[in-house]
Amino acid sequence: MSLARVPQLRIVQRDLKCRQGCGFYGNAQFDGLCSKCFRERNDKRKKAEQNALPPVANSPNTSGTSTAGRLSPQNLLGRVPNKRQDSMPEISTGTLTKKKSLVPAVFQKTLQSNTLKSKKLKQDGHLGQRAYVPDPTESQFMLQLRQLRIPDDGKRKLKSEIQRLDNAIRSYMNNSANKNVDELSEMVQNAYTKLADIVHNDQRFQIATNEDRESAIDFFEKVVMTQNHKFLFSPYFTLDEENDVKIQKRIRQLSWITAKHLVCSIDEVNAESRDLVYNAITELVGIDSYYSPQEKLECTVRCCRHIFELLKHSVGGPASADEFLPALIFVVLKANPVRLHSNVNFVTRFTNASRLMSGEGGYYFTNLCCAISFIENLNGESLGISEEEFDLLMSGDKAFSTPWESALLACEGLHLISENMKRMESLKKRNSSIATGIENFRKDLEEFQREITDKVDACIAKAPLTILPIKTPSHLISKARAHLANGSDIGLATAESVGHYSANLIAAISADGNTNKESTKNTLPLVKNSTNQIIDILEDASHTLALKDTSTTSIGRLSPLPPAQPNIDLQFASPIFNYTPFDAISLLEDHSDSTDDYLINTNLRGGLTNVNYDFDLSDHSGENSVTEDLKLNLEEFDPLAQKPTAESDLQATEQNGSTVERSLLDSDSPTNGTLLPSPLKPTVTDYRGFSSFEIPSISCNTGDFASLNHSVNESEITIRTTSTVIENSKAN
Amino acid sequence: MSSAPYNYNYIFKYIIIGDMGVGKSCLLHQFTEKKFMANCPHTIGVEFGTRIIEVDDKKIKLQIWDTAGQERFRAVTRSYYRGAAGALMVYDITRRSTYNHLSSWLTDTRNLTNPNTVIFLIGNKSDLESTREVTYEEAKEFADENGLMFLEASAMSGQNVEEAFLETARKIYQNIQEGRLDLNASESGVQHRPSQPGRTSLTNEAPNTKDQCSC
Repeated sequence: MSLARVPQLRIVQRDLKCRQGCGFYGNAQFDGLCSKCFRERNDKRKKAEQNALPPVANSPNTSGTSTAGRLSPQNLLGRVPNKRQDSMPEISTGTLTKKKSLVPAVFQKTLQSNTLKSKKLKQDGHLGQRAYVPDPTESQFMLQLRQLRIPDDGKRKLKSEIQRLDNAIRSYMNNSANKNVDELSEMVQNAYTKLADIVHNDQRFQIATNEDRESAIDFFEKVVMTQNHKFLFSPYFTLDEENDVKIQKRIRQLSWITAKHLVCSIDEVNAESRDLVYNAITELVGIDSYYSPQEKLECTVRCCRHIFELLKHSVGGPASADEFLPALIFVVLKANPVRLHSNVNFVTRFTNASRLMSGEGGYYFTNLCCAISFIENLNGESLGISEEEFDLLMSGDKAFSTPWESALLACEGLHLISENMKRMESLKKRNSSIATGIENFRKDLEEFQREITDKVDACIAKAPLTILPIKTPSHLISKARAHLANGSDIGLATAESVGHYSANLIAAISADGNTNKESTKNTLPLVKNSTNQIIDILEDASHTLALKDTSTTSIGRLSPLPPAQPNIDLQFASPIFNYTPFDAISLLEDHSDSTDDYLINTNLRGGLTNVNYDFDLSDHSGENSVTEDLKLNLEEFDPLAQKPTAESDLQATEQNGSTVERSLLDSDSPTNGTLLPSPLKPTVTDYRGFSSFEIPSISCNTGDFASLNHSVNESEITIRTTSTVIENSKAN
Repeated sequence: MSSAPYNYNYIFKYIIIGDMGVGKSCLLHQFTEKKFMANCPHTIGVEFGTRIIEVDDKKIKLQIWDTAGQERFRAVTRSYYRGAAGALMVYDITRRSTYNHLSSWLTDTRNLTNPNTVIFLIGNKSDLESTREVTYEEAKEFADENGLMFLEASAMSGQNVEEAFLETARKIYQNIQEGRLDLNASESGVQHRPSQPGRTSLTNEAPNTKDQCSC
């Protein structure tokens, strides 16, 4: 039986794919499935069938209503086909067996069971196991029938008429011994007339409009023709097929004919008109793939419309019939439509005669018939060439080349070229997209880099690495100033009485009390007398000394002030830097504590050892914190330090006492008087001396101090050296 | 009026497919007319030819559809795959590109025909040995891999042309005998003709008994 879906010439890819979505092409013949899915489904069904059958045999009566219920969704199974089977049993047998494999077991149950439907089914009892499954075409027609806007009674009548004609055609095909296609044609035409009569006059169609009536007639024709296409199209008892082959061969032989031969205004070389010719050809070739005469006619109409458009292009205006026929002949010759005769005859015989008598379709179809008869009968004369030439060309002995042929070849070549170009284009597009991707990536990277550097720059700008001078705590400065003021006065006296270092110490220590100053101002004996006082002072000094000792052992960091100074020294290694402030500070701080002198020295040594690694900038951050630490240390340290120092008081006093005494002895020399500014000067010289010469001497001093308690000689030496330095500075 | 043309038991529908210029029309012509058609114009759309052959004493009418190889007409030709019992897939042994396109033709065929369609691969122009570009072995391997029958033929000399068509028919007939091909499936590509009594049971039952004499 014929197919539901008339093959379209242009099919969307999606429509071709398997319904299962497996990605392969589907086939209408397999319910839109691909071959594999179809087979699988079939196997499943067969299995189901086998499984379902035995229980039916066992209990035939149980299936009554339930199966009917299950059938109901498949309306066609239940209702219509059964009717058909009633009316034309012998025909359905043929079609029924086809679908045997697809028959759902359910339906077979109903056939076997003697329930409600048994009466009807009994009538086609000879069917036996054979059951009827509607073609997809039929279900589609049923849907269309339901959509027709005619009364239900009319629909029923229409259906019965369709079945009647169907039946008649098939019985004729099967029974008639001497088949004649004209008889068949007459029968069909009579049926058309009868139907038209019914539709227009019957009570059941009265409500319908004329339009609906026409569509009902059309529907009738379409259904009957599609269903019986197999029998009616190129019936084997006609010569249609032979004629098809004949004209096909003839057209092939006439392939040398050009538009010029036909005096036709088609420009064969023009690509645009060639495309239009191809459109017309495609329609013409497509005629064979439709089933109903209407559709074939519609195809013809479309083809001819393309030709008119083509002529409009060539002529430059609306084309006349004189131009149309040659063009149509040309198109038919170039198209060489398959089964041309069969198609034409099918339409002529079995379409509603009224359709061919009127309308666009009728006109074009008549033209097509004319074209065909022209082609069949043409000779050299009709083409304007000699008979001999015509024969030569027909036999293929004379070589020929038509622009059409070359165009066709070129067309294919061009087609390939354009296809390749398309591919190249897509490749190029991909390439460029990749290139832009790379470029973007590169830009991103650059931007990222820039961002990073910007951020880093911003961070640096926000927190620049500036090295600030150390802030000396203000209270220390003020203290120092006070000391400075006092110290200059006291210095002399003490210096006179004691060795200048101890004098310095004493001066520094006694800076607080004026009483001390006055007492020390006195001469040596006085000093000796007031040794108690001095010892007291010395005790204080020893306190601090002890303190300093511990601090120096801990690399001088614990000591309150001094570490700051060497650090400054290190930082501002070059004299340009903060020279004066340092100087001032150092000067001030020298006096802030009696131990300063000593501390400076010791810490200088520490500072020197630090030079190498303390130069690291990272240490500077600690500058302030160091001073703070120192403050803390001071506070913390003092109470702690006093306890151990209290114990060592005696020792310290003894040692100091001895040194004091010795230094006192030494200080007999008049130079002592000049030693007054000594507390200040050494630092100055120290500072100067940061040029490599002086450092050793300073370190010597400090070394002396460190070993002050043990070796007097060294201390003497240091005193001398310092004194000479002072002298030098004075001289300067 | 009606004796010879339908004196046959079966109608098998064939299609011939392949690239442009591989000689499809010439193969058909060679088979139906038994002569080589020089100067064969390009097929546009579809052409067809018939010939009655005999397999196992059964007359079989081959209805052969020759399709256009041009890509432009593929849309048209695709509709003719439907219901083909046999597909002759042709390539030109002197043009490698035609061989390379076989897989796409095969895909089309597999997708548009039913699973029982016999596909026969023909390497045409076997007379042009000197310009051969595709070896027999290579094509044979391809055919074996895809379960195709294969022959090299020449439409020019007629060598193997008959064999190709007949082998296909035999295979289809074998399928029918083994029940693999459902004759009544609407698109099996095989029709059973009521030309002989007793043969008709599949198509039509009782009425045909009268139809013993086809005259």
